Amino acid sequence: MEDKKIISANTMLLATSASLTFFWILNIFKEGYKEVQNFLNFYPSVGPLLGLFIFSTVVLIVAFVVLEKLKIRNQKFAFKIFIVSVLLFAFMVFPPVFKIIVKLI
Amino acid sequence: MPELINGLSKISLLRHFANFHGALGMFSLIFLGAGIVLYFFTTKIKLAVNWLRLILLGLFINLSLLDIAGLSIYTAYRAENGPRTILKASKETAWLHTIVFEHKEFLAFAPPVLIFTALFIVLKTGDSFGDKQKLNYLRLAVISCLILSLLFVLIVASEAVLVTKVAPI
Repeated sequence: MEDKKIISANTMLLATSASLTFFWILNIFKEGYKEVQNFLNFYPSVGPLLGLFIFSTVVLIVAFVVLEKLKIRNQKFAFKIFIVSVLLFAFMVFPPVFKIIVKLI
Repeated sequence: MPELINGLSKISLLRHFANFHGALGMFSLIFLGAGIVLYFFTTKIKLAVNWLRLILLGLFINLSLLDIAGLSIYTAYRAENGPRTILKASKETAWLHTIVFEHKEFLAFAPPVLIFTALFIVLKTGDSFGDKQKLNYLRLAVISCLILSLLFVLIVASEAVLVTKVAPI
């Protein structure tokens, strides 16, 4: 029972990592490709930002459901992935950084 | 007093909403402070875990409302002849939109997600959350969520002040 709770908590850490990583990658594609921007722009008053928020939240839920099947017991592993993902997210959503990648794609 | 009521009534509903958005940001700082303090008590007092759970729930609701309010005000920011147009019109102020505001809107996604993660861990582990040996890394993840969220909220708030000083809603 206790093991199951730790597995769920580890899964949530990895699902959050997946969601944050998906966010900055989708943001780069949104900036680089007009088609992606139009696809995310389903409510023009707010713009593609709303689509970015909604899809990243969906990824969080889907990743949790999928990753829970892997039964990850290693807390240290989940924590390390989580910290790296959050720091990478903070770095990759900074416009002077991600616009360099946008220019390359 | 009538002067105050008269003055407040003259402020547009949108400005009131923008101020409410700012107030939500400030409330989150109180919740974050309480969460960080309570975290360190969870190894000593069992009741602290219950309080941490409540604070994280309140904080998650607060941060979610903050993002929803932010997205709602964003429509006014993007409107024709709105602050975005004013900022982009001049080369001297364009960076406030293309760098500062864009960074603010993207970074704002993280705090509610991080606090939801912390809440989930505290809810799942229950009273054993205080067990330092068994849940060492999960406990580290919770305090990281709180500290990183605090950092992100402070950055987002500072960026908002920077932009609204030049082009208010």
